[in-house]
Amino acid sequence: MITFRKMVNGAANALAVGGLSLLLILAAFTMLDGLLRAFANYPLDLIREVGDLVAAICGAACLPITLLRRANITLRTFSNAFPARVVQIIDSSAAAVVEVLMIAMAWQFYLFSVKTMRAGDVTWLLNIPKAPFWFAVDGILWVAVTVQTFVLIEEISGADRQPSTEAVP
Amino acid sequence: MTVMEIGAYGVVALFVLVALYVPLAFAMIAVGIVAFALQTSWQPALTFLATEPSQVLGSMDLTSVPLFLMMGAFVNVSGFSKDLYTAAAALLGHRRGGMSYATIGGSAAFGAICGSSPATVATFTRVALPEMLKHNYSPSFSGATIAAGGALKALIPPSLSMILYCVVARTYIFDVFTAAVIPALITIAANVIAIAVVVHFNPAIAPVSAPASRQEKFIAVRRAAPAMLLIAIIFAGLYSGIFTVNEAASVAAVVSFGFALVRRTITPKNLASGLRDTAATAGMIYFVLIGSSIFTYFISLAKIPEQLIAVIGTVDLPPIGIIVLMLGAYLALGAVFDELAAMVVTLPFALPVIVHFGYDPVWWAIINVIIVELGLVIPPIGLVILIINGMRPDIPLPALYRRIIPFVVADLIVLALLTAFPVLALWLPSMLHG
Repeated sequence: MITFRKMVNGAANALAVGGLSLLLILAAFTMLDGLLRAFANYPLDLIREVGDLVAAICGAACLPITLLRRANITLRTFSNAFPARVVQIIDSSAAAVVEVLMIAMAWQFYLFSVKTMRAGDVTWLLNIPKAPFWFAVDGILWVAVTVQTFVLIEEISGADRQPSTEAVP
Repeated sequence: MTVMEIGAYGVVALFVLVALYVPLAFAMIAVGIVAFALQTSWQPALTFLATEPSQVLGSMDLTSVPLFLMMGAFVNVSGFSKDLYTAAAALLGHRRGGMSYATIGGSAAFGAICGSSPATVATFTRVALPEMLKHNYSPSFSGATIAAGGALKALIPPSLSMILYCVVARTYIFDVFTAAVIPALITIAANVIAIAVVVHFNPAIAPVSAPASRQEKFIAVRRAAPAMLLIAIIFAGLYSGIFTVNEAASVAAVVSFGFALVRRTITPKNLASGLRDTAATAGMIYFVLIGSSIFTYFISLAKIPEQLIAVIGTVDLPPIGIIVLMLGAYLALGAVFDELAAMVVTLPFALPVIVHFGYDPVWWAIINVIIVELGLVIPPIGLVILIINGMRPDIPLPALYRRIIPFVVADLIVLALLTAFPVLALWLPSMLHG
């Protein structure tokens, strides 16, 4: 279990840092594209072509850590009204629902990526294949499934939670 | 089962799942998929689990969410909050309640370059509270001022509440950002008036401080110059039309990262920590948007908004009466429900009603965001109040809730004004559209 915890923690944290570092690089190129477009009439086609595909990888990289930290909006208004054992059962059931949906999402995304590959979808100007990007997103979704499995095991066993993140408005 | 029955059961199922601690996003996904499958078949319903995430995750517009959050992380480590507060305090601190005005002004300015209200409040509790206490301000009044200043963030572009609204409501982000300008200024003014009234009747809670010298003022303003430059870059770029929202977010993240590097305040450790926190929050927003997107298909197919409009049509009230009832319902919902969550869940139902009565979705965005702002300070949730109390348990919650009342009244007056005069929000976007 400790090895599993380390593995899951490491994967979720590495994806979060790696994904957002990649997004920061994409942001720098987006800024450069804007400047070149405005002042030199020389847009960077590559950014327009693969920007949304890279953004999808960066966005997906945020999902595992959200699951690991239980950072999703959950309304626990009546948590004090139930005994701890009941709360644990409810928490475990909720984690199981999330697990089932994550598996379904990762599976459907795999089918979607295969479909994209078979259709030979490419970007419209530079003909870059889209499928590898979607397979990368799908890979991250399977990591998220693994993370949620860990969360589910923790909820069932009543183990200590990871620190949660702040809310946002 | 009829479409109407599926719709009714779906809405009930959503609330049951949420009450059973299923995260809101996943409750919306589950209900959306199952209800859509019951109305059509499982195959098209399940494909939503791929098509909707691919659209949400692959949206360049939505990268503004993690980018603005990243900017918040970078400006935090750069110490911009302290710089802005020190400059505002140097300029306003000598008046009665001046440190409170500085907190509102500093929070508003910092809100423009920070990703979230809780982050603004946590930062100002560290930066402004010790200064206010040093000047013998009442702890609960100081805490309430910081809470009010932090909640303001929701209304100051680039606000995540607004971005979320625009994505769910499919409204132009730029229009909503523009529409927020005048309401934000009115809200700042209302908060300042609230402080003036409170310190007028209770001067002991905010003693007068010695004025800063001209040199002190100059140094403080010069120190805050990079933060003000960043604000100027974002606002000028965004409102002049040079940047799209996504480009503004890119510039904001890159420039704030550059400032943190130049100031040598960023280390590999706090960079990684900031990115992890940003990712957790951004991931939460992505999940909510995926859930909302799938849920909206179910709502549309079940024709729930049309049924709702038909029901409301039987009520003998003018449109403004319906709006006031809806506002009351939102405020009541906020007592047991996170306001942001309430906005996302109710928008697919509420927006068609708003549009049916001839109101503008951009105006409703501003009204929704003010309700989110109110929800941040109103008990029993009042997230930012809880944050202050969590960081400073020596300031009791009841005292904070009591001292926040003038600010809540100020916000309610702004809400009433904007409800009665939608032009206050809609004038600027219409001017910019020519």
